This record gives sequence, structure tokens and C-alpha cells, in this order.
Amino acid sequence: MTKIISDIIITSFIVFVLIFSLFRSNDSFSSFVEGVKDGIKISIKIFPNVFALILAVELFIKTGAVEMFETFLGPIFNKLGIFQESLGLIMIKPFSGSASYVVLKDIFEKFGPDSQIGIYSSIICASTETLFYVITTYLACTRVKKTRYLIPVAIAVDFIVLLVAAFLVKNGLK
Amino acid sequence: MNAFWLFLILFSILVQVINGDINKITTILFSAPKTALQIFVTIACSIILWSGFLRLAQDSGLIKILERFLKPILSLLFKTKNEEAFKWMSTNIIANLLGLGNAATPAGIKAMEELSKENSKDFASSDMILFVILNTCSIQLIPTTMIMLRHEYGSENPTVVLFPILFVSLVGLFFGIIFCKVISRVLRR
Repeated sequence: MTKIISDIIITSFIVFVLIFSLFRSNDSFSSFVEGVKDGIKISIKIFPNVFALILAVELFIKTGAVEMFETFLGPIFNKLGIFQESLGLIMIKPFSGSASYVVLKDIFEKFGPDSQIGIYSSIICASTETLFYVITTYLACTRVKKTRYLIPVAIAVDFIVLLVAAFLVKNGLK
Repeated sequence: MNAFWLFLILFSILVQVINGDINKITTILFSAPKTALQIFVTIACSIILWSGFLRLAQDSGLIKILERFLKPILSLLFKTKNEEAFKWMSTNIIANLLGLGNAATPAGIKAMEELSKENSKDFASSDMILFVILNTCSIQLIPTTMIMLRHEYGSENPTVVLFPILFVSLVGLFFGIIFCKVISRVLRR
């Protein structure tokens, strides 16, 4: 059902862009081609950085480093009021959107989507971002070497989101 | 980013050594580039496709119209006077709101390129940092993928998370902007 909504949004967006362009009578085809050239340039520019990041993340996930973190950090997060069972999701999400959905599906299978943990996981998965991936891709095209306070602020904001969501789920939302 | 990247790799290898399965490291190390390349190809394809449509929207003047709505808000937040940067920032934000995450990326990268033109140093300007923070706050009007997934896994109430997601994202956005503004002011003194 919602898959349909998402398909409708994307399709109608594209149709709208095309019809708008038709009425403005510019050369849609060559515009699109120019855009594709841009896209290829962007992709090539960000390739080394994205590749390096994904490589490190693959190692991090596959070697079981995530599980290691879970056993250490779990109790601390629990004390802070954050659901310990969602820790895997919390750790993967900043790096990879697709991997985080795999973790979320595991949580749904184990606890059910309507359990407190399921609802908490849904909320944080949708309201946090793949922040290390975003930082890497967005900075790849600039000559920036030092990110100054960017990463600390991004992590702090993520943390606030985790806490507020936990508070919501524990007080009221069922 | 450097220290962070080294930590990810070295820690992962260390964990594997502790687990006593050293030969698995090479297996993973040699299969990881392949996975990385596959993931990158998927990302690149969507960037290329959306760049095409974005250019179409740009050349037809559609983006200019969208920009008119968002520019007043954005010029309150950002110091830049660069028109191109505002154009791409507006596009990026609208694509994010609509949940067209893949379309947001090329527009965001273009906005960053524009912002970095005014910044000759090797560290990020406060405008650049604020813009990336806005992007990591993930404001979506309709989190379609999430609702779809909940429905698929037999949730009795897939949309119960809608309001909390919006609320929590807005709280994140609020703090993100406050932190950025306060820190950039303190650093400037």
C-alpha cells in the first residue's frame, strides 16, 4: 500500500518535471544529457572517498566488531534509557542505510514491529541519518580536510534523537 | 575522518584476532572491495539518473520557483550570498522533504561545491557544516519505506510512528541549528 504511495510520489514528480519543461519549451533531451554528464562527474569525484568508507564499514560489520561494541556499550545505553536491543541498529545506521534495514528487519522478526523495541527501532531508523556516509559524500567534492565541529555536533544531535525517542516510547506511545 | 577510518579498520581486525579466526580476515578483506564496488555502482546509478532530472528542472526554471519559497528561511540561517548555493540548497531540502533521498544527494553535493568556492581554506566553513548538519537530521514528511516495512512485517498499526518520527526529527533539527550557530559564534569570538 505505502509502496504504491512512494511510487506515486516519485512518478508524479518526474512527470511534473517533464511537463513543466515541455511548457517552458526548452530542449529537455539535451538538458537531461547535460545532467547525466554532471552526475557522472560527481560520481567519479566521490568514488575514492565512498569506496574507502564502505570498505572500512564492511570490515566493521563482517568481523563482528559490532557485536563486540554491543556487549560493552549495551549496559551503558540501557542506563541512559535507550533500548539496548536497538544498539546494533544505532551503530550501523550512521554508515549504511541498506545495512540498517537488514538489522531493523531482524529486530522486527525477533520482537515484532508493534513491540516497544520494534516501535523505538522504527522511529530512530527513520529519524536519524546515515551521517558518516553523508559527511563523506558531501565533502568529497570539496578540498576540505578538517571538519572542525561537524562530526561532534552530528553525533550529539543523533544522541539527542535517541534519548527523546526513548522517552516518547516509554511514556505514552504503546 | 582519518583517525576514525583507521580506527574502524584496525578495531575490526583486532576483534577478529581476539576471536581467533585470523584467516577470516583475508577472506573478508578480499571480498569487501567487491561489495564496496557493487554498492558504489548502485549509488552512482541513482546519482546519475537524478542529476539528469535535476538539470531538466533547473533548465526549465522549476528550481527557481522552488527556491523563491525557501530562500527567505535559508538566508536567515546561512551567511552566503551565493545564488547558486541557495538554489541547490533549496532543491536538496525539497527532495529530502518529499522523501526523494536519491535526488537530494546530487543537489546537496552541488550546493557544497558552491559553498566551498567561497572557502579557500582546508577546513569546513560554518555554512558548510550547518548544511551537512541539516542533511543529517533527516526531515521527511512521509517516511514511506518505514511504513512499508512495518506493514510487511505484520504491524497492526504501521503509521503509529508517523508523528513521533516527525517530532523527533524536528527536535534534532532544532538542536543541530542551535549547536552550529552557538559553536560558530564562540569560535569566532
